[in-house]
Amino acid sequence: MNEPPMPPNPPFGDDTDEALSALLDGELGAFASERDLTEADARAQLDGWPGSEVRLSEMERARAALRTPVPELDDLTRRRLVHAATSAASERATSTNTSTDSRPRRSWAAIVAVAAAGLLVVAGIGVAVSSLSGGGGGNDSSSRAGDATSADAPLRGDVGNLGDITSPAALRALLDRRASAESDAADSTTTSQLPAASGQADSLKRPIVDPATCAQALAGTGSLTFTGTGTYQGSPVTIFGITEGGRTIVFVVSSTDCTKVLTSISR
Amino acid sequence: MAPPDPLRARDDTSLAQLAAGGDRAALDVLLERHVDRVHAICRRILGNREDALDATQEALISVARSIDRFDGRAAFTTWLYRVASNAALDELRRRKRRPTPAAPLIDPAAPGTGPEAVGDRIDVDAALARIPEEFRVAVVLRDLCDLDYAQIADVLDLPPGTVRSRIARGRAALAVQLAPGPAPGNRVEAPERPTEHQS
Repeated sequence: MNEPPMPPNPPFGDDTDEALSALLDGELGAFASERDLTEADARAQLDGWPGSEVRLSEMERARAALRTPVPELDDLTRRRLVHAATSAASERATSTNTSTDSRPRRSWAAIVAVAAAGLLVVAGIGVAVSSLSGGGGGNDSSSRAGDATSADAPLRGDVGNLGDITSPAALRALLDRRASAESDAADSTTTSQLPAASGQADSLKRPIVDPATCAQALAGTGSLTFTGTGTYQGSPVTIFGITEGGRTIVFVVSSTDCTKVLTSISR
Repeated sequence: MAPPDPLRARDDTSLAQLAAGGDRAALDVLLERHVDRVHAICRRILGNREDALDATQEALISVARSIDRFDGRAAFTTWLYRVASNAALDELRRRKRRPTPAAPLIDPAAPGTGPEAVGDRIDVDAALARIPEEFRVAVVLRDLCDLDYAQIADVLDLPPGTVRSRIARGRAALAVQLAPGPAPGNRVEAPERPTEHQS
């Protein structure tokens, strides 16, 4: 009996994967020239190998897997990462004699937990708002509040007490009012021009961190357009409205520790 | 509408020069522009969210503190990716000194909602975690950052031939890990060739 013919060996031996991978990347030329071949010759040798197509598809699959998107950072995490970096650089510049390493280590578990909780709340808000608006639930008090406040005057500067902003509609209304403010931005307020949120300071505990400091940290390169106070899930909060890169973000932070972001919403 | 921020219209090199001169707003814009990519590199090299965030933070701080060392001769991203890769590798070494979960976690914030998407995410992170780190970095820079071999050689300070070899071996190892069928475990640990092309 005649045995089936043996498949030809890979053209470049152990380096055949390297040739195929380079071919995928359009970099076969350098591989070929190192072997005194033209790119066309190297390509012809690969094409003549029966295993080439299968191996190439395996490598393509690996490449495609690597190109799947990485989970995106949320706005708050992104902002905190950048702010911590620029702050660390500033601290170093102003205190070059200190050897203290101010880099935050393992603080991300807490930050991410807060951010994730905030995102869940925001997601819930979105669902609730859409169901309210879609279903015409006019009996819901928060729905009525949202409709009413969205027609109010734009928010700018220290807006004092905004009341209970726990409800989805109330929080969304802050975004709506902020959007109105953008259309009237001729004399838009900057971070440095804003007073610290203190409208209801008498009824609140003394802040651990100055709200103005937090406002600057949260605003980054954006423009802080309003601050206010209120309550969120029964706790006193400070509210910051920030515009940056065409996006509007409202942060709700604890009044006693404004580094604790309870929720945020953006558009 | 608020007027557009003129800093955002500047290119990386221009922003880096301003930042090196102490312009914090320019540094903010520069870091914000690239934070997602830095995080993506760290995430793919490290395979989990928490370590990736730590490494991302380290990388950004490193960039902020040493921006005056960027001389503008190469692309800013080349310099940035080197910093990010080194931060991720440093984190990887720190991680080896502390206990880690046995299996990668599913990231609930990842895109895709169906079971197939979840499965893909697990596979990519797990498969990458099982290939040698020098291969992993090379394939991440190539396939995630879309750098060519010369740029990767610059980032990693390696000859292009070595880069080509590492990418090929990384992909080959990854192909085994991603192949249908039973989980291959740690069966792919291909040693790097002792001799590599110097081009």
